[in-house]
Amino acid sequence: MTGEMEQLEQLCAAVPSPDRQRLAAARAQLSTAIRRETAGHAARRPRLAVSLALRHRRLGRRWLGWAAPVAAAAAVTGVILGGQGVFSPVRHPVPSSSARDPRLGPGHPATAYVAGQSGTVTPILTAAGTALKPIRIGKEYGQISSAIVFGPDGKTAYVLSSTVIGGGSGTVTPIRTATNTALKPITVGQDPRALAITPDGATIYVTNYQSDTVTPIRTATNTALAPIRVGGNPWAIAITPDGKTAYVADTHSGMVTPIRIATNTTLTPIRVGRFPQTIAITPDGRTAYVLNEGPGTVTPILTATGTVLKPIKVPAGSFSMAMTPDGKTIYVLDLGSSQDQEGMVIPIRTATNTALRPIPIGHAWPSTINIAITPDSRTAYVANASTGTVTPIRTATGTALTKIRLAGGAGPIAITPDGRTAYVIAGSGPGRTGTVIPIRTATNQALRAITVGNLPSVIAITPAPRR
Amino acid sequence: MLFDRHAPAIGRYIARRLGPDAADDLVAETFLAAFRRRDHYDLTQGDARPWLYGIATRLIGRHRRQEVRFFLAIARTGVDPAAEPVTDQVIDRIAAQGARRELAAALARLSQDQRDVLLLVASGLGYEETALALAVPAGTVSSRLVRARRKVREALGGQDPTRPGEDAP
Repeated sequence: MTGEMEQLEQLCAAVPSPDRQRLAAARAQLSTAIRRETAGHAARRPRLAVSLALRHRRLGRRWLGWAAPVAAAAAVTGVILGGQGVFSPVRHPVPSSSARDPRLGPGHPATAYVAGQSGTVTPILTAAGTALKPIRIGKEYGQISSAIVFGPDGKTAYVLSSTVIGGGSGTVTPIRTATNTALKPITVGQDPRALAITPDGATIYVTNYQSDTVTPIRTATNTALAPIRVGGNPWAIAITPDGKTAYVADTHSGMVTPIRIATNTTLTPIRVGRFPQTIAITPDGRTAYVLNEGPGTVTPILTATGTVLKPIKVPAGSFSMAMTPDGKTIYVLDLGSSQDQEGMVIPIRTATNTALRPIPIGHAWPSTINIAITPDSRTAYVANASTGTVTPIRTATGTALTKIRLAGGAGPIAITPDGRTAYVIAGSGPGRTGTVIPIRTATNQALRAITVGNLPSVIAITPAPRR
Repeated sequence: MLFDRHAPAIGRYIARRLGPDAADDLVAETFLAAFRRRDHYDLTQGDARPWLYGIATRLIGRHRRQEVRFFLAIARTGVDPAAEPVTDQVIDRIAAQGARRELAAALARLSQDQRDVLLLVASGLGYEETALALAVPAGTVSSRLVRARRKVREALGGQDPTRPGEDAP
């Protein structure tokens, strides 16, 4: 370290920490902005407002001041503002091996694809539990892959990536699963968040959070079509099993916008609740369920008429949900709204639209919970990132089985089509080896960790045996 | 949690580059952007630090001219509004002011990319963390840093007789 670096460090070290008053003001400003955003009734671009506030401080403060605080947003706010110690990742030595794990037994040729910030996608042969050579899809650190879908024949994986920090155009990279080669990335809108594919595999829809649009992609040619304008800040998207309608949750406007797939035109938006966050459609296509993060409700929509049924109340910390493949149960994930409350999984019986007794899964707030359900709908695997544990839940009785502790952590999960193995993203974080840990579902035993690209954030498995 | 743990450091970083008043708003804005991207952060559950510095750097980049003006003002007056009032001996203070003026002038002349790398590293981020923050490969961080340091060294070189020890390689 020579002179100029020391001087620069001194220059930086000379700056005192903001005093308590300043921090409190920033905290209040942030909390108001988050409440506004989750409330969904604010002006379009809070970010712009804060930038303006830089130049017109007083005006800026007043501008942020007139938002009514929304108590229900407390849990959402908690992710950034509240709690203690929950964000520190669980750190254990991670055993790793690329050798075949004999305990996996005979299997099928399904392949798991793991992506994140490494600019690569790592295929894992799920039958053997071995990682193949990573497929490069972009620059290291330049982007984050956040979602993967497959064509119905399993021949192509589509990987959605956006810039790490947010803003800027995103891409969808098709990967041929037979050869594990990446095709040319398809550019979509600003800050894409989610994608869904039609049951016939002809079209992919990508929600562009900052562009307020949905980009259709024709898979035959891998070309993006004209973006479809939807409501404010679209995030979740789901397509009906008949492939006729896509439902898009506009987080900003508290609406769900249906898109007619035949014409790529929007239908009349349906008012749900503040900050609609997740959409799940029953296998019969009759009902779309929307989780509203703001008020903590699940709104059933009858797809035939667009009629909204009575919202089902769920805890305030509910932020995501998943439906069993048979469509009988929805599991709502609740982080708990303070560090004194455990994270919960709330089953909703779709036959009656009633919430059943919550199942505690340990302290989760304000980190995250992921879920995957076996194809036979019998077991839900719930990963708690705070505790680094996976809780299997028997769906028939709603009982939690013994927690499975994973070395490294417990992030997103995917289950093989034969239901034999759950793959959990375990190792993540700068400077740490990215790892995935298989869990054998017959015994709920964790197997050897598999090394993948660094900072993995998404895992998905080909839908059915290939060939 | 994220706020309580990281806001003081992020506040210092922004104050270093844009002054303490601008920092107040940008701290809130950094964490608001973090809130919007919480899906990505939650998934990776790693250390949030580089990610937050990256967002702050991106936001500072929108106020490039203001940053240059801020450093030029320090270069002109020798007064650093971001720094704690100096309580050292008078001699040290004068010496420090001289060096500070040269340093601020050099920083004002750097490209935004170079300033980003230099000030992230000087704020205590490692190369790997800086690479994550700027969403560039680690090699790019090294090469930018080498160029930025050379520029600053040239700007300081031989112009600061009050600190003879600083020119040693």
